[in-house]
Amino acid sequence: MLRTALKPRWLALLVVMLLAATLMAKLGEWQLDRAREHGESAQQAELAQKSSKTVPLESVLKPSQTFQRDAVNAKVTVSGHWSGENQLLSPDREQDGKTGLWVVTPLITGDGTTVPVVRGWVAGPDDAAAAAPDSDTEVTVVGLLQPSEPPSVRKPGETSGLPEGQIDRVAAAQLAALWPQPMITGFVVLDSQTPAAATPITPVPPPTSDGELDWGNVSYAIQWWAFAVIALLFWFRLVRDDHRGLLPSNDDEDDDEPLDEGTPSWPARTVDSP
Amino acid sequence: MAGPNRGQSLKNALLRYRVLAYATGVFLLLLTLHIVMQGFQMRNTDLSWFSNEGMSAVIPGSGHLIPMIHGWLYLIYVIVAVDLWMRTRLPLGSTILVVLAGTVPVMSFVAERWVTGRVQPMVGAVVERKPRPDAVQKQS
Repeated sequence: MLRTALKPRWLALLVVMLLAATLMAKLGEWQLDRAREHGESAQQAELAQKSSKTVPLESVLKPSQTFQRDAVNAKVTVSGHWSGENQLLSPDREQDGKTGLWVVTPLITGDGTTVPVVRGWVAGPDDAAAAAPDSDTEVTVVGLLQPSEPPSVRKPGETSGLPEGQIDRVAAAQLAALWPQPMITGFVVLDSQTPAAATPITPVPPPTSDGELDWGNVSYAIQWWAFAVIALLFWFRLVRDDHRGLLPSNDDEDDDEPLDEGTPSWPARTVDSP
Repeated sequence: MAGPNRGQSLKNALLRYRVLAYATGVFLLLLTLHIVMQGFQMRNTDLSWFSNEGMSAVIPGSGHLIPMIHGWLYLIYVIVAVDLWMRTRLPLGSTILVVLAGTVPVMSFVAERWVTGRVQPMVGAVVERKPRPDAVQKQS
């Protein structure tokens, strides 16, 4: 068996299979890393929320700039004035087991950039806390930066069916039609503001996590490792078959070797035999 | 060893392969659709390609499940295809193509036709041999 394995063709194939298996094992490891990352990003949000360190918004995300991965959950500070008349509500937002609406208000910075701010959560559209803020006062907002929500996919001419002043997603692509430009491609979930709001509003908590692995990536990791094992078993089986004289090129119709159950040796040939 | 069960077990192996070829093929088409949708959604979002929701826009959660299910199905497809190769010794190069066909949209259906066309006669041959004494085969 060993002598068969040392034949040049099997050695060459072993090298190929080992390389393939190593590559696949690496890919599995990479997927596992990604699985951990996914689990961690939600944890990062909670940590960022608790930390007191903030960065100016313009240092992590400039208007119209593509949202960078490391900007997710950045605790940012941004100053400007509310554009109360442009405030929108976003329905179907669950919080503490109740369905309510997000209050989304554009904040216009000193240089004219529009920053969508999720100011908080209200139980109904007529809630006093949902009242638009005064547009004249300067405010400084601290909150967690989030990438735009994916816009809802609609057929041409189809509408969201929501009442005036409501949007289904906080998506830059959808807000662009309603609010002054330029705008950032994300939104800030308000944590605190100075001066404080006239009517207090229930804050929206940072995205919660179970801190667990992403099972999609874990699946891929397991699958890559399984492929690596299969590649090696495949090689082993080829060598064993060669050893037993079962490979077609070596097949001299010598059937002395016992066959495994369920392994017909070229049954197609018996059709031709007289 | 060369009992009548051989034909049946080869038949079962072929059936397993065919079922998996279809299942993998269908899920690969869904996966392709999902990725294409992600690409189109990218025009409206500022997210990178694979961060878009894809099929989840139509069936909630499917964007996560489709790639995962396809991955597992493909793994079983490879195992079943290698098992079938062990039983039939189809040409090695073609077998590798059959295994890879599970990663190319539509190709697993083509591979299934090819494999079935090759293996079906073998199943018939094994069953045919059943009543004959083993000596007949030796004489040839």
